[in-house]
Amino acid sequence: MRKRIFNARFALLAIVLLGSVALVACTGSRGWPSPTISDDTLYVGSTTGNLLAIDTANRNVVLWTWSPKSKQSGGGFFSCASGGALTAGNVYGAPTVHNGLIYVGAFDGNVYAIEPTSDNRDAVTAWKYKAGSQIVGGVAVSDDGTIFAGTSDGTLVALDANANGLEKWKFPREGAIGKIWTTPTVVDGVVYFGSLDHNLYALDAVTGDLKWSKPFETGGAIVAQPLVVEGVVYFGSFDSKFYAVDAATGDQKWVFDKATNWYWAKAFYEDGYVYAGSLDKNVYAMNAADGTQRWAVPVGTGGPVRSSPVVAGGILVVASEDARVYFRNAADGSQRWAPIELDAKPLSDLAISGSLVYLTTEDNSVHIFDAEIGRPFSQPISLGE
Amino acid sequence: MIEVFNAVLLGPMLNILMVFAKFMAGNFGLAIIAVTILVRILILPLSLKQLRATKAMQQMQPKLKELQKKYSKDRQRFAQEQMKLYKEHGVSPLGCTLPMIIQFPIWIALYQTIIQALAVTPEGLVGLSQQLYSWSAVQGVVPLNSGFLWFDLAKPDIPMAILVAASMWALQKMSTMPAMDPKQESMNRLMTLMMPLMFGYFALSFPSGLSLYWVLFNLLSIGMQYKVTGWGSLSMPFKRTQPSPATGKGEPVIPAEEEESQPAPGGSEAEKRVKRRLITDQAGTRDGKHRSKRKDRGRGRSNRPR
Repeated sequence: MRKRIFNARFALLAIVLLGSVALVACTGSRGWPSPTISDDTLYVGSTTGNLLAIDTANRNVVLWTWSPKSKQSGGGFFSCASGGALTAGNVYGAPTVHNGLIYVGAFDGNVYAIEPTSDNRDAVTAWKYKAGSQIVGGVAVSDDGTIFAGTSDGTLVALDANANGLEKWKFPREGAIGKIWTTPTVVDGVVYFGSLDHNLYALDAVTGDLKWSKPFETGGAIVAQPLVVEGVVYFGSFDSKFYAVDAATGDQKWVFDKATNWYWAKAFYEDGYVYAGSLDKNVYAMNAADGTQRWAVPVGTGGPVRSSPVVAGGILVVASEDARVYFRNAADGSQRWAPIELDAKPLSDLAISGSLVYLTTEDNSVHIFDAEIGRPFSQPISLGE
Repeated sequence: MIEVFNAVLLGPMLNILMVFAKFMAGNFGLAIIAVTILVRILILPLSLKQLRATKAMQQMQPKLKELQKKYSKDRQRFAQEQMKLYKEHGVSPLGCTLPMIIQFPIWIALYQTIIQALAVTPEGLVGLSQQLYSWSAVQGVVPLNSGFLWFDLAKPDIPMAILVAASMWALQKMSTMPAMDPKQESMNRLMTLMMPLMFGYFALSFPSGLSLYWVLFNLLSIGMQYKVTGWGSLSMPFKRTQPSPATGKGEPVIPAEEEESQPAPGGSEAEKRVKRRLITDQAGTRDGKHRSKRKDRGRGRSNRPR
């Protein structure tokens, strides 16, 4: 009898141990790195924290792989409390290329400047800036070489790319706002970014001072990168609304409220229309001037649309978390080509070069599609283990 | 399976927590406390049944001891009689393990809720979007403020981990039955030590919001346990215990050589043993069969064999 009691308790102990391990199929951060294309070279991060350069003009040969030296594991025994210790350098935003250097912000709290060697067969870390808190969005670079990155402790930092990442200013100067998970957008000397505190901010890119009399407030957190076109800022919010705001004054121009879930990804602008994917599984097309809906019904998919859609030659390309890529006519939302089924869920925003569309998936691959024919352009490129 | 878990447990828990947080000025820590109390109330019938069983076990100890003496040479028969006795008193050998097993999915759901609602990782926040109901009370609350008292609910906290271990140890001590024999006593001590240490170590890996739940749940359980069975072994936290023949409650184990030099404790068996020794000694002195151990100063005699 005693043995049964002891065995029962020991079984409980085993269950707790195993369950804890399972419980932690544990949400450390994995990253969802988006690709960037510059001069026939595809720059893309992997879910293991590496950055790869791929020659798209030469049969997708991998030119070099860079990895941050710091790859410490996350908080605790199971890396469960990923908010605890800084985790491995997973990347959520797209790399930014400027003057031959590639800049990434990583979840380990660093902004890295990566310099390819002269033969472009290797890359080294030129410098890194320790922001001290996770960076979830990408970084933006202005024409004068100022790098902007938002952090999870609610600050936007401006770094001098020409001075090895020397900090120019920080916003706010004291204290912090809500977490900044958006990729900032820099246009005409103004940097725009959203925060989880529900506000959209516009700052002078040189001084870090507020441009508007007050931040533009929405009803929900903002993680979508602002899209700035012809003096108007377009972005979606967690209040399920899509906004158009005057870039100079911060006044609302119009609001679109047909979605039933959050906006996460950056919108896409083409020929007077704005296309935005929502986590309610739909993609909406709005007239950029007044916010009226272009299509009779939105483009529906089987899963949340977290990736930014693109339009290539009049064809709207959408990647959905139902592991499919959709090709629709941008004019009326009707199907152009049959959806392509993927082996894994899409991770990143879509990147476009001509008619070619690039997408990273959960199985650590880059897929390339030709939107003109609605087919894969080549075999998926593996980003390694 | 995951869809069922999300629909039945994760979704409701997450949304209830968000509603509580909204009505508590966005304070997620208070929301966790409210949900802990709610969970405690929901499993109260099971807990009360377990506590009553614990009390019945205590009261059964003298009878168990009798059975042990009676069937000391027939283990199988002893086991049968023991099971029969348990059944008569409605006692389950699993003891306190069932409430803990039932809580396990709750821990998982609470952990997932904390990760998603506090925007620890972007993946978690995206997951949240698919779990929230369309209630106006939950929309617009995201993300919640993770600060509570001195710690961050999204990150591990060492003092909270210590509190988890300490409260669990206290609860284990109160609820563990006194051992029938030294071997069982060793097993009890092992379990009483291992579980709190293990949970304390886990608490160092998980968000402290989960630790807050564990600490509060343990404290509520300690209160309930005290009401029904008293402090139990916690009143003698570092002594070995055995069931009292009279009451079945734990009493300290006193080695035989110490027992003779101490005043007889309240238990009737020990008193009898002491009295028997005294009577025997006195009888020996009267009839001259036993020699006194007093020193005989003048004669130089000793008790050493010749």
